[in-house]
Amino acid sequence: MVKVTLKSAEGDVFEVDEELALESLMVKNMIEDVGLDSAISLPNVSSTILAKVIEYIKFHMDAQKDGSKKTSEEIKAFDDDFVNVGIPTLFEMVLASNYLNVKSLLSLTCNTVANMIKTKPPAEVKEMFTSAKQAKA
Amino acid sequence: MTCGGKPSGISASQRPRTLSKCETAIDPVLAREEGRMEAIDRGDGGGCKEEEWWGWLWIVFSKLDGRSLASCCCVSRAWQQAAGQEELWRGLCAAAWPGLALSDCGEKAVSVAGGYRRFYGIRMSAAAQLGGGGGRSSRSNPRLRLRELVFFLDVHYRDSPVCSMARGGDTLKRMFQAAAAPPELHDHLDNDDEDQGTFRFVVEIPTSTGASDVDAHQRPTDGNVDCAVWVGNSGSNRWSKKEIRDFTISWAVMVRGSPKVFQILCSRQPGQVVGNTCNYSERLPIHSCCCCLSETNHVAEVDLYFSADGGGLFLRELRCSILNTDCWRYFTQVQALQYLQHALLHDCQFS
Repeated sequence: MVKVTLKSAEGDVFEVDEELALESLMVKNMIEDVGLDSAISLPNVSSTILAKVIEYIKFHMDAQKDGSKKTSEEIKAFDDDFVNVGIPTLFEMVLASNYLNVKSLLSLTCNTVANMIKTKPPAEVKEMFTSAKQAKA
Repeated sequence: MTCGGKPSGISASQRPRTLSKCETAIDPVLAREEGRMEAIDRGDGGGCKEEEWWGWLWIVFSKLDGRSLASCCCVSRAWQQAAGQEELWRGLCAAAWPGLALSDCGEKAVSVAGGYRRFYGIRMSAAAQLGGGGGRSSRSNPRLRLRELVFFLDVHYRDSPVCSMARGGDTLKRMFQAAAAPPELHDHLDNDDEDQGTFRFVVEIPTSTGASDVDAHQRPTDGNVDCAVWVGNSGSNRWSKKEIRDFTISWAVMVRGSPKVFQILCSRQPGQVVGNTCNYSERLPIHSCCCCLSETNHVAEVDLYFSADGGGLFLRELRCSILNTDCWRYFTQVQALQYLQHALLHDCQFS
């Protein structure tokens, strides 16, 4: 199995299967452009977030394999648990999945944010986003 | 423009090219604006890559329903522009009314309305007028509560008062429960859910030996003041069948804390005698602020129930209700409260 080396913003190196790395369209394009020889640098993604993204892709790739025994309930439970994080982390995951262009994760995280907005009055939405931006900055 | 059954162009699976186009569409003006707003909010410069920020926020917005998206427009000036974008509202319109954009006249109607955002708003509020669509929740939950109402019931015979009372609060609830008996027919009243059930209540008139001596200016010192009924002097308490047709009934309502009175019923015609009951009913007025018709299919009804005893009729009960004569059913309490809320608080949702 061919391995791809990904480098996070902090410089940490993640070695993943090529198949997994190709789930990110951004990485896929990079590989097509520069090949597999050098590490692919992802300056916009922190190590913790990159680890989370890899965990997500790995789980879903395993779940889609033929021999997988995972039920749709289990997958949903994983997704629910996966996005059950603090708002700053959630926002970082959205930005990362947008940057890395992982459609399913972007959809999942954006849905989560949308559901958070749905039940809140404007003042609380503003509060939510301002504090998340502050935490990031 | 293509238009399938789904909102076009803004699904989560949209291509990255489209996304970046959206980004440039909202950027850079919004990025600057938002940066400024943020700076005001926390007293320093922005700290986020604005392009990324608006790019994914667009996706979040595209997953919202109309109400939430409208709510997002109120977050800040930058959000107002971002969440108010026509493309988003076009998606909502296409999801709600897929046939809208198929014809020229549909598109023209949208442009006359001032764009998809405006069109969505006016169509949804139009639907809310009929108590359907987006307005259903607000229509089915009147703010007015039964216990906030005070009912005034006055019965006269040729200008002299027969009985008179003002009822409100918990007493009202008991009156409604009394009307719902026998309980096996109204088991939905068993739960404590307030304001459920039919809008129909019963007032018992005490026998002449009871409260008949009560002076109109003096409150009874014993018993429950809330249940007091003023009854005219005992000599005139025995009626003939001819006389009971000529009562005049006044039924008015006030809401606590508001000076406005709404007259539910003021009998103008003789009552209809059926057995020991005499029925007085009048159509309720339509609120002139939202309809040009003069009458509704709503009828307020007061039944006077008499007991026959020793050659005369004695007034025993007043049974009050509001009916819908389209289907000949009693109003539910929720329906009645909606109507009264409109009448009393002039809370016109339609104007």
